Amino acid sequence: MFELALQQVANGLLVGSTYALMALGLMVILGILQVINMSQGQLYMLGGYCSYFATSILGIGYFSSIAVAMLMMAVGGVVVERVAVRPFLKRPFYITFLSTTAVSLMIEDAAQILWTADPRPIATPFLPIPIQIGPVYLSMQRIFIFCFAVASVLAFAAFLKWTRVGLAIRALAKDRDTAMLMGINADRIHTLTFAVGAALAGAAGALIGAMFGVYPSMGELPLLKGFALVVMGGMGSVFGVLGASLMLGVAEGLTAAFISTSLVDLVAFATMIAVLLVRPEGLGRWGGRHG
Amino acid sequence: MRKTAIVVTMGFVLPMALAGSVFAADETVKIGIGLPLTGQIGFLGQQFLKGAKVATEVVNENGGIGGRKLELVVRDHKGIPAEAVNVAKRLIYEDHVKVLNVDLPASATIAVEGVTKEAKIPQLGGYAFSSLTLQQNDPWYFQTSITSDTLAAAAATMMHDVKGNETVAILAPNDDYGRGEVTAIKSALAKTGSPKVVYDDYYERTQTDYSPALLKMKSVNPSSLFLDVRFPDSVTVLKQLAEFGIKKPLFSTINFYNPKLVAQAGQYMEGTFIALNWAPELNDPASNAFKEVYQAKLKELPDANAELGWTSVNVIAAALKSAGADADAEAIRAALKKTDWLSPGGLIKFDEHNDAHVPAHILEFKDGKYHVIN
Repeated sequence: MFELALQQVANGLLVGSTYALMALGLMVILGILQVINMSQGQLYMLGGYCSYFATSILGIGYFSSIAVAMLMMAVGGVVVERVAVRPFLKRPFYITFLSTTAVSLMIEDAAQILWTADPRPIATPFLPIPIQIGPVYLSMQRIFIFCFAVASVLAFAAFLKWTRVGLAIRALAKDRDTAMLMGINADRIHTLTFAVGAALAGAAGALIGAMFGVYPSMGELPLLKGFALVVMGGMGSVFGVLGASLMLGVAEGLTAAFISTSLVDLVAFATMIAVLLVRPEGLGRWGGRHG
Repeated sequence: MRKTAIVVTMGFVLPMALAGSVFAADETVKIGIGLPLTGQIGFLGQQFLKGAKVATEVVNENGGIGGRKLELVVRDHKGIPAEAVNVAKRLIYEDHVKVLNVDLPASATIAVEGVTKEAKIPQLGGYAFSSLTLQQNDPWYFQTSITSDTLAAAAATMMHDVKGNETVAILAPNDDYGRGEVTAIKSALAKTGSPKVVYDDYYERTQTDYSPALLKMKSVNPSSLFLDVRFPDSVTVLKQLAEFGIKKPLFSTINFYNPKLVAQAGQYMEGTFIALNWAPELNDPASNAFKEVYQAKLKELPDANAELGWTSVNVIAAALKSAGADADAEAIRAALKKTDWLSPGGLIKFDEHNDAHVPAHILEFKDGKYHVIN
């Protein structure tokens, strides 16, 4: 029993790190721009396809294909921001919610028509050979994703804390009007924020697509869980989102092990509500005034 | 002014064009097909549709229904039962189809039974494995696909016949099909006496990571695994079994008959036994005739899903031919009752509950290929 719990906790941490990657991209757009970007799941899906086509058609190595996916999705994010967000920024929040939802439906339908519903496997150098640490079994691919996710979170936190652009982003998040009065170009920061958020989604798509295959609807559930994690994490806290993601991964693993796999999502969202009841502001946040 | 003229012109032209299409469509005999053509199980619907379309072409090449062309009216419900109900209503009340086949997953079929029962329109379960579809006390519903009870009985026998297979762990999808299949397997295994079920669980259709369930399975150390997992989830499950060092004899159903699964995870399937409705490895006359015409038209081999579409449309066409192109719903239902048609999977002849009792076949995946066991 203890060994099973230990295995599920270890596995849950690895699964949770994949959630963090998706949630981080959402968080940066929601936390800073106050925009609910419903197309983030489809950018995640397109990131997976970028990696698939880069490896299968262009013959690029898997690790390089992640960089290709990030780059392409950064461009994709800018396009979404220009087409479906910027024209409606001064309108009520639900307008951008609807416009990005429309974009997400169009992207997913286009993917369905172009590439069919068949999942595509991304070729990776990882072999499905177990790595045993005591009673715990892990795989090289999962360890890589965990390291990539944690490194992304740390790099992103450092970017926000120690760069001028990061400072501008934080300033906009805390007090948009004052930040603009101080000379920050809000439009440029918005575009950049979308590019960064979309690039993170692209990376997540390439990493997770390599584990579970790439298909048009792959972004739907991660989007939903991603939003839940952003709320749980504290609408703008990088480490809050990471903590919430890891907590969710572990909760899901333990639920599957000791209750039922079919109740995993129920427990996941119940965990979110429980966290918000105990700590309404989420696990962590930058603080300050938003909007 | 110019805009007004365009609107007025469109106002006249559009209804006339639509009316024209209705008159043209009246010359055909319509069958309503509702399937998930997009979404996670869209590929199953697409394969079923291929078989259905080939069957329609063949029927039309052979004179259609009393000289009138058979027409498939196809709508996508994405595998969502509520959408399937909307699709069924549109097929009945807007498209005026004679017979319906709205399937996949079984929960969609069951949801639509309420609609067809009320509208008194014959409905075929061409891809509705769950035995629950037959338990709705519905005289308008006819099952041409194999049932989970039949599959389970065959699967239980194959598991029982493997030496040393004392215990089994089961994983199935959390829907009517999966729950029906697990109930049926447990019941069938209770009759064979062994193997004993030591674990059973369900995965969600939206799930992508199966590691928690697989680790739980591993912890109970069963002799074998029964994985009724749909493609593409099956690829992930097989890879994750290898990741966690779980090596057990595997048993499955139609869900493990898939050339794409073989291409992506064939190396992890060696020795797997599969119970299913049909496979192109079968060499009886009905199977060969189907394979020949399908290959001639689509330049590929049909799979078990395409066979279900082929059978469904052929059974409907046989009933329509017998009842006549202008027959009403009651006459078509009566004709379906008398159907006697040899499908590639077996004889389609409905019992008092409108079940065709299609038999199961057992295959083994060995040396990278499927082989018929019986």
